Amino acid sequence: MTAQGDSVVCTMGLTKIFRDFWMREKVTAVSALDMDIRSREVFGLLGPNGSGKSTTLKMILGLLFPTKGSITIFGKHPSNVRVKSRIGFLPEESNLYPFLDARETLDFYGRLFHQPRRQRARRIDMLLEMVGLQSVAYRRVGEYSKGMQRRIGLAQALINDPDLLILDEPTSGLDPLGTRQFKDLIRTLAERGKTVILSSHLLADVEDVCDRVCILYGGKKRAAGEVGELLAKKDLTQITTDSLDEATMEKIRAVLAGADKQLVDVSHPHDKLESLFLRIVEEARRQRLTTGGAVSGGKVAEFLTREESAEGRNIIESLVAEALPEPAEEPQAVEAQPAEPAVDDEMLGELVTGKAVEPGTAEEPPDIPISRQPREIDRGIIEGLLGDEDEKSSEEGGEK
Amino acid sequence: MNSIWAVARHTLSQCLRMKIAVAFLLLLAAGLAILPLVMTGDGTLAGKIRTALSYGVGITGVLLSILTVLVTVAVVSGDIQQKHIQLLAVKPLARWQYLLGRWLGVVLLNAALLGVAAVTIYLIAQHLRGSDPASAVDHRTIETEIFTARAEVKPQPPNIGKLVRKRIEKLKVDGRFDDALQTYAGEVDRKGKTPQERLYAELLKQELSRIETAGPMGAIGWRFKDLDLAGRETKAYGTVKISRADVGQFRISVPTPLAGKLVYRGPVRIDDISGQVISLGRDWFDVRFGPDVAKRQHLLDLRKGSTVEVTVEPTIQFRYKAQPTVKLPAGKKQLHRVLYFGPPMGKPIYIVAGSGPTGTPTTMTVPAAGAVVDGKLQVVYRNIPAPPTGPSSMVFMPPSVRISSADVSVLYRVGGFEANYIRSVLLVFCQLVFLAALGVFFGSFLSFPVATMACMVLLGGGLIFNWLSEAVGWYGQGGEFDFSGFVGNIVLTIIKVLMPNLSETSPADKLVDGIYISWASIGWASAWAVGARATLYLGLGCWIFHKRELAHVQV
Repeated sequence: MTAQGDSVVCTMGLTKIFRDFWMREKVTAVSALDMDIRSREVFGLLGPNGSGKSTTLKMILGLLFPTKGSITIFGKHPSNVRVKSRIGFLPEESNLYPFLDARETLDFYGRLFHQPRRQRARRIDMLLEMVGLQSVAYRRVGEYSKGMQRRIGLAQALINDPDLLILDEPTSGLDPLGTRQFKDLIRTLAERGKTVILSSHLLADVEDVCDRVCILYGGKKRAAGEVGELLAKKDLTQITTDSLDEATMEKIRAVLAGADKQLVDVSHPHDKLESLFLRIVEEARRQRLTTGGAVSGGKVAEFLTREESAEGRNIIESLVAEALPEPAEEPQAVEAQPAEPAVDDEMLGELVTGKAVEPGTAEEPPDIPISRQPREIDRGIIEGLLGDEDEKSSEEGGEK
Repeated sequence: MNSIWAVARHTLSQCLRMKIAVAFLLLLAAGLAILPLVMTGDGTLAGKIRTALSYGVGITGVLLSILTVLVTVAVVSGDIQQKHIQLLAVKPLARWQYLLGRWLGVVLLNAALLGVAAVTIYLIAQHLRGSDPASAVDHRTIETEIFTARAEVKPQPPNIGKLVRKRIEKLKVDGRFDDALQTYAGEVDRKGKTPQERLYAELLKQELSRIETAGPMGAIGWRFKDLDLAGRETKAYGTVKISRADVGQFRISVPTPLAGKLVYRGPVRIDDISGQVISLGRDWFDVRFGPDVAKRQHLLDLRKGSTVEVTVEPTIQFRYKAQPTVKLPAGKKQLHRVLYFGPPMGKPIYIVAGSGPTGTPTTMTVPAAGAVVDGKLQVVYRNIPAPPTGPSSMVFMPPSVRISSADVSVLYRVGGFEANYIRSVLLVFCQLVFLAALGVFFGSFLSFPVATMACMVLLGGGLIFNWLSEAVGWYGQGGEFDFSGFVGNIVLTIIKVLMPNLSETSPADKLVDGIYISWASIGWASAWAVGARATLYLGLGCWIFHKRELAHVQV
């Protein structure tokens, strides 16, 4: 395992030029890209369509060869077979064999990692439960919806418990529920010491989960750095309070005027649409409404993020350490495991009392730490970075 | 190895899901179902069995060859086209392991399908073997020329060079050599041969024609060596059906295959006592013992129902194809001859008079005992007129007959049909293993239609290689087509290097002729066609696959 802070992926002067049949230069997909992605971080490759994100990932994975420059991955060349046993990859399209069912798919990819049969079967069960495809495990992948294919694609990427997880447009085709679960999983993996490289043009996804981002446009790096640093408006201060009446507002204006400051904006904070959507779905699930699709959303994240959950810990441990004995076989681990998952107690309480258990009760799982502090983010900054090439050219190379 | 096996398993599973096995079995069943409609042969049961075997093995080979090419190309190029490879290539699976896994999977599929087809064809052939033959000759043909494995020995080549030198000496002695040379000096030769070389070639041709032609009452002789007949007896148990011990004659019931190996008037041993076959049936024969031997108490004790051990002495089969040098009159299709079998420089032991058809191979079976000494044999063909049909009928002089040395051979049984059949199936398997490597190679860098076309062109080239050789040889014989010959030879050389000669390694002809397919030939086929060429193709495929990019630009 790489020590925290060690370089996992390093590119120097990475350039990819595509040529036509007559070897004439057709397009420069990536140009002189320097990146140093370190362990335990979630790194986002951000950019509009055709900015070179996927090409960069494919070069990191050895699927494309650089025209110029070099790549090392865990200090080795991308074609090194041993290095690949530490990587999990979810491509932009799932690229799975349509004639295999979910279980066969995971079994086949598990075999390529030389996993013993028992361990493989165990992991397959856990992963299918995690991505919510247990009930359709024997249906052919070709019959899955796009979102379900993304889920099984994620499961195959995790079958080897990778130290480096590379996700190309991971949330494309996923419903908000799946997107949320994906993001929670990414954070969970990062907290457990994994390195995640994420490519996306969906700004909210990157903003929610990434520690650092690199913004590409036209194959060139336009900006790079920590998300907080890039988005912070240091010339403004935001205070959130209880709702204020007009008198109080006047007082505030007076105080600010005394300090020679101006009140820029006063408004009621809005909830995110994602949060609203998730609340509605959660409510529907509590009422046990039926659905024909995948049945995840929340449970897996809850499962993986709760440190005190022995069940979750068991699964994570078995995914993390191949050589470790199976925790379920240890009597202590069995004793420590709760009789029922917390979510079932919650449902039981609801059934008995006839109303939903209030959030914050002892049975409610703690809030999921999907990001650091909630921030009001001016997306215009990012859009500006993407759109204005000349202004930001001075930031090139800022990654290092 | 685990990775290769995982990919091979996956390939097998993929092929089964693609219904390839079902399609093949349906096509094979359809092919075999129409077999009875097409296998008329020459009207004999032997002809039917030959057709069934050659047709069955042929259709299996063709179907599996096409299937192998299509499947290997489809799975490899399909993985690239549909981007499945992008998931596989990022797993701890070397690219060469992926290609070998794909190849192994198709080879295993072929092994399974070929096994099913081979068993089916064998059962059909055995079913036909159990039917009633049209005649005793038909029965003999089935047992001694089809359901057997015979070694084929070609005659020793005549020393024509020596004969030509003698002719030249004679021309010189007669003072006609310079005149003969002058005949060729005046003509321009486009191949640049000297008059001496052209005279020598002409004399060679004349001498070869002379020694291969028998004029009226004339003869042609061949010598054979290295006939290994030691321990080639066939043994089985029989039951005495009729005992006439008083005159030394018995009718013995034996299994059908053994009865087919007996020769009329040939030697046979009953409980190790030598006798002579005097009459033959499908599952019985009559044996007569000489007056001295017949008095032995053991024979006198034989009664109806007694079980005896029957030993059939080894026999040799002389096969030739005679062609009259002139066109025969209408209605006359038989050439009359006497064949003499004996050791070289010795007296003939067996003299067989009769007639044979023109232009088709004729087989004559005689006991080997006495005729073959120290593995050597001499056979003489004498061209005789047709015997008179009546006291007043006229005897016409026969036409000259030419028998090419290439059309002459001596055959003798060296093994059973079953083992030979298994070896022939292995030969087909060798071809399929090679084709799988070919498909993997082309599929690794070409799209499905282009790779399939390339494979099919080479496959066709390998199948018609002999025909191509002849065609190119014809074009290359000087004259105005020299350039075509030059180009043709280049193409031929390329095909020869890239493809094994599938028409030569095809086992169907040998199998239906009951010719022994040696382990050496399988070793050669596996070592050269599979071992060398398949390794070359797989190696090249792996190298190209290692060097190529597995994703496309999407900007």
